[in-house]
Amino acid sequence: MKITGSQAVIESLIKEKVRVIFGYPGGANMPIYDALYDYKDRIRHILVRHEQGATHAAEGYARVTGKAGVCFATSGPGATNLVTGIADAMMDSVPMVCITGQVASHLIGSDAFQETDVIGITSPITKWNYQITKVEEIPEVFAKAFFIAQNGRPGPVVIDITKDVQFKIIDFKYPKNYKVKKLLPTTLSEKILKQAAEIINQAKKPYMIVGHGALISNTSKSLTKFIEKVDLPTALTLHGLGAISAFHKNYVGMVGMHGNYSPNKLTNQADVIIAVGMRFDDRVTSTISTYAPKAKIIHIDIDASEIDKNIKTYFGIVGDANTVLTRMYKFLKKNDHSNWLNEFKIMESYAKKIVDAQPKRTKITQQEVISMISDKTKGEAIIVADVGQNQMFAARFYQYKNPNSYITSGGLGTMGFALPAAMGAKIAAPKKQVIAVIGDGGFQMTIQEMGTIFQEKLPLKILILNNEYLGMVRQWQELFFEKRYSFTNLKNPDFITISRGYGIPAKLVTDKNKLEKAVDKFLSDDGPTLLEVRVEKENNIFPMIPSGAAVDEVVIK
Amino acid sequence: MRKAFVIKVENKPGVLYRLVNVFYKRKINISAVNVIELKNKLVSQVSITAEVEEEIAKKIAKQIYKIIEVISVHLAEANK
Repeated sequence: MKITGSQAVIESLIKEKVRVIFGYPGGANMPIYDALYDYKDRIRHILVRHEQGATHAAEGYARVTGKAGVCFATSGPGATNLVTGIADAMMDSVPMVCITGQVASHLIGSDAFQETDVIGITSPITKWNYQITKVEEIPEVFAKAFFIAQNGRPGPVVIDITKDVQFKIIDFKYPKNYKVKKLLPTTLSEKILKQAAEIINQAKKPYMIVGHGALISNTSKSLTKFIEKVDLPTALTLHGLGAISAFHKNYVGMVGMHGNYSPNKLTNQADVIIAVGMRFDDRVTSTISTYAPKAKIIHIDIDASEIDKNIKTYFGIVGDANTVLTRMYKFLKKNDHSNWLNEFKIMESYAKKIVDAQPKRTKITQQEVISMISDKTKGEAIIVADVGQNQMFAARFYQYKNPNSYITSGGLGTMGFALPAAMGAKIAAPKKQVIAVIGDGGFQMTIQEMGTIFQEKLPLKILILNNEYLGMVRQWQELFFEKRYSFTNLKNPDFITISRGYGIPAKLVTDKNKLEKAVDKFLSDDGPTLLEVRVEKENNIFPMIPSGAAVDEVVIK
Repeated sequence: MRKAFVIKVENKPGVLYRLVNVFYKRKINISAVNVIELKNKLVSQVSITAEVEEEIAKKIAKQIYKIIEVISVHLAEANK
């Protein structure tokens, strides 16, 4: 089949079963957009309002489907606007393929109009990147890009295509079953799995911490069976939420800086920790020297470079979480750790009493809003949270029943993530209720995507928790900087008017006793809708591990 | 400790950039770099020498191996 390079790009995407592209046209990718014009019935293109929005939307899409999200951008500023989202996807292991236009190959290196060294800029933040300067390269580079993005530990890939290549003719043939050998699953020895199981069988206080890797490997079923057989108290990381149901009897809460009290506190009492698909991020471990001193750590991760990176492990198993857990199952002894599990439950209810007993607030709290939405949606919605207090309240007070239902920017902590990511999540799961939970600060970082939501009529729900502060920074200023609120208060515009300007119905609630009615309407409305809740301005999220402290020095108030 | 990382890579532009980035990310100064094309020209051998603690060197070697174009990484004591 003889076609142009631009058509080859689109044909390659079709071969990779891409259904949606998030993008923005410009000078250097116009031929690709021209080719796309003829594929409108086969590929849906979402015109974002800023390229960063495309990347986060692609992330949201990928986090729900497990398939690579795809972005288009032009050269120069188009490509550099992708950078935040690419870095975000790299940190959170999100499969993504970004296709950027580039100036014509004879102009490369000449500082041509809208030329940037995209490969140079994105090398430290991509799993792989490549500049195509010959039309014949297109099929193989695309096959390789998608394989790399979606296999092993997923991550972002950038393909930069010069404009001249987009016009050239190619005899198009797409490689079948293209593989990158080093990303194929490694063989696991039975012996190692048996040895690890022995350690778990003999443990008095075994404890499991599950991260994002478990969701990526789709292991919730095997994981739950594993947990039940050993009777393991199980905590989740921020990105692991939903890996087992929050209603499961062995679930003890979230670990980390703003996690639950008992899972942090009792980390340091465990004698064996089984860490599944998580990377001992500093927000989880706090001070490493005082982390889990009594525990033999069994670390299961698909990325060999994560083993012993932050925490010295007793036993490292490199492999896909689902494969490892499934195959280890038969070596596990049926056990009863109910006393140990009870320690978590008792400690947690003690902590809850103290947290709940904090001075009664007259205004609505973020916790109240999230808890109410959690009850009313029965833990079944997809929550896409931004970054800051809203993110932590959404993590702690929504009871996640299903995998891949809490989506946020964890590693990079990108404010402005939620609104575009929720668009991607809604497109990926049109039948699910998708709720973006955003603070007043983050909302204004990618607020322009309201235009995309309007144009595409994306029926997602936008919850703005407005405290007129950059809440998390303000909380730290209160606790660690003697309440010197340096540049954290925001004079906000009228979000309701803005939303209506974008054609999205909006409602404001300030009064506690009007909250429930407003939430009911918010959840039952069809089409995109926005609810702004004016919340307590100086409300803190607790428990919290102050930086520099040990995990068992977690404070409740 | 002076360590030598002997790395076989696909002979392509940009690979060296990714390699040195792993060192740069940890602010490790490279004392010597050598790149030679092996006979078939498809593979190059990159030798990078740097002052690195044993523990860190092992982590770096694993992170280098993650680069798609890297075929193998060997870690050795380097001569002063």
